Formats: sequence, structure tokens, C-alpha cells
Amino acid sequence: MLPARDAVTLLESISADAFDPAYTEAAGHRSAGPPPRRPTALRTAEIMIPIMVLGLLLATALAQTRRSVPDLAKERRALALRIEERTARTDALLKEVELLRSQVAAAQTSGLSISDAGREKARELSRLELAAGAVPVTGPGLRVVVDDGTTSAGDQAQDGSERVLDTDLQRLVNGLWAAGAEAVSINGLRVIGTTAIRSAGLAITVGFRPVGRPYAVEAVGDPDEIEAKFVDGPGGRWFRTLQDNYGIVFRVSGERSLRIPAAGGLDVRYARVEGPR
Amino acid sequence: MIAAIGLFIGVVAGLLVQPTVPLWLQPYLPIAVVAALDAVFGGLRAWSEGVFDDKVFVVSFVANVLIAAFVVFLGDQLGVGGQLSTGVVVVFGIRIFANAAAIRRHIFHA
Repeated sequence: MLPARDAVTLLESISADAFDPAYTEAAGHRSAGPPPRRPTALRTAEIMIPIMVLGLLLATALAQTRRSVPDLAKERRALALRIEERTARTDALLKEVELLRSQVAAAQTSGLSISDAGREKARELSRLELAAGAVPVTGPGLRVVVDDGTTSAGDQAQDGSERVLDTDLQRLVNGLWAAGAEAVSINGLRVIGTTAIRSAGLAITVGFRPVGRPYAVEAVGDPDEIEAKFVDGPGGRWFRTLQDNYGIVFRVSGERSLRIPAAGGLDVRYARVEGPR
Repeated sequence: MIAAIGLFIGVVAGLLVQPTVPLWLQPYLPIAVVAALDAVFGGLRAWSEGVFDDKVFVVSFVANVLIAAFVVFLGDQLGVGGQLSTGVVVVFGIRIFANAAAIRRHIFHA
């Protein structure tokens, strides 16, 4: 009750007292006594200087605000540029790793091909490399394309439920492994047992590298059964549910020939080869 | 006339020199501008009512700017600087509008 009235009177009193009573008082003094004799120069300065200060303040505040706007935009652009630069550098380094690795592999094969035992080792090595994801592979298999759904129900609020999540991609990849995939990649990034599929903000990272939608997941495997096994398996069932309920895009196609690159970080951090017994 | 010349000189000087405001002073600059504007509108209204007094004008100008800046500074120290600057701007805004309305009445008799 009262507070509302008080607020109104407060606002009223602000506008009612807007006129400085000091002016009326000074005028009253003037009319009462003889006008004080003061030099005109001083009176001019007393008006001019405050107004000049106001102009200075105005111009400075204006210049300040206008200067800081491009600064912010510049900072943002610089950050974006740095991100692009670093991503390009990582890409270049990954290419270099692949090149060096192929050189090492070539040197290894030529070194091992001197003896029978060496050739045996080389065969074992290439089998292990294939399984570990250390080498690029080609072969028949499956391409699964998934993408965020468009909210089909018209102006339904976009609450994020139509987005493909990192856990969805994890289920998809696990479903492909379960269906007998021998090598898997997401948007051209090899996925192996230690590859992390996570979300960073609204983006999904694969092995700590951001991937954009749509997500093309490729898997090399037995062309006769991988598709049926995947679609009827847990991964396919999960995505059919997502497709039906959230409108998420889910397309599966068999492919004659897929190329899947080598994995990036193959380091083993803690395990050591057991010493000779 | 004097006032118009003063304003012109001030704006031109500010735009030409473009003084860099130190970072700690930046939050007080807009507040000082609003406070100074209030004093100027008060003076203008006094002028239009024929009771203008240069001494009162100078004192109210300097006091307005300093007190407004001090209040916001105090608010900053207490952690409510943003809210207090909003309050200061609201109060001065109402005063400026009230004075501008009075000036308008005097000039146009409407």
C-alpha cells in the first residue's frame, strides 16, 4: 500500500524540485539589496567554462564509446583467427605424422624383408597395425549420416532435443563395432578404442578435434552383414528411436569402397612392454 | 550566445585532442556528463525565468559532477556501482526532463 504511494511521491518530488531553489534565493538576495558589482569577464567565464567542460566531457565520452566498439570486434576477430590458425596447424601436423609414419613403415618393411623371421614379423606387425588403427585402410562397408533434426512441429521451441549429442555418436560408433566394423571414422577422423567423443559447449569433438554437422560415420566391415547387424543392433535401434521422436536425420548406405585414415595419437601412456624373462 | 560558443569550443577541443581517459575513470565519465547536463538545463531554465545567477550555476555544475561521480564511486566500493549509476541516471533524467518541460513552457507558452 504505502510503498507504492511513497515511490510516486518520491518521483513527484524529484520532478517538482528539479528547479534549483538556489536560483530563486539568489534572485531574492539581488532584489533585496543593491546588485553586487562584479567584473563582466568573470561572469562570462563562469558561464563559459562549465559549458566548455560539458562539451569536452560529451566529446570525450562519445569518442571513448566509439573507440571501444571496434576494439571489441577486433579482439573477437583476432581470437577467431587464432583458432583457425591453430586448427590449420594441427591439420598440417597430422598430415606430417601420417607421412612420417608411412616412411617408417616402408623402412621397417625393407629392413625386415632381409630374413625369413623378419618377414614373419612384418606380417604380424601389419596385422597389428591394422587392428590398432595405425595405418589408413580401405574396404567395403557402411556410411551412416546423422544430423540435427529440424523441428517438424512448426514453431515448436528449439529446446536442444533435436540435436545430435556426443552420447548419440558414442552409441552409434559402439553399435558399428558391435556389428563387426573393423575401422571407423567420423567426418574423416579415425575412431579407435581410445578416441574420446565428447561435447564442448554446443560442438562435438572427436579425439579433441571439433567436428561439424552433418556427421558422416564410416565403417569398414563385412559388406554382407554389417548393415543388417547394425540396423537391427543397439546403435540402429537407438537412432531409429531418435528419428521417430525427435526428427533426427539418420541415413544408412552400403559402400563399395571406403577409405579410413590412420588414427592420430596412438601413444600408450602407462603400459610398458614386459621385460625379457 | 556565450554558452553556445563555449559548447562549440568544448566539443571541438574534445574531438581534436581525444584525451584518453584512464581506465579507473571510465565508469564515471557518462555519469559526469549526465550530471553536467542536469546543471546546464537547470541554468537554462533559470535563464528563461529571468533568475539566472552565474555563481549558482558554477557551484551547481561543479557540485553535481563531483557528487554524482562520488556516489557512483561509493557504489563501486560497495559492489552496487551498476545499480547506483542507474539510479543516478534515472534521477538526473527526470530532472532534465522536468526542466526541459519548464523551458518549453516558457518559450512556446504551451
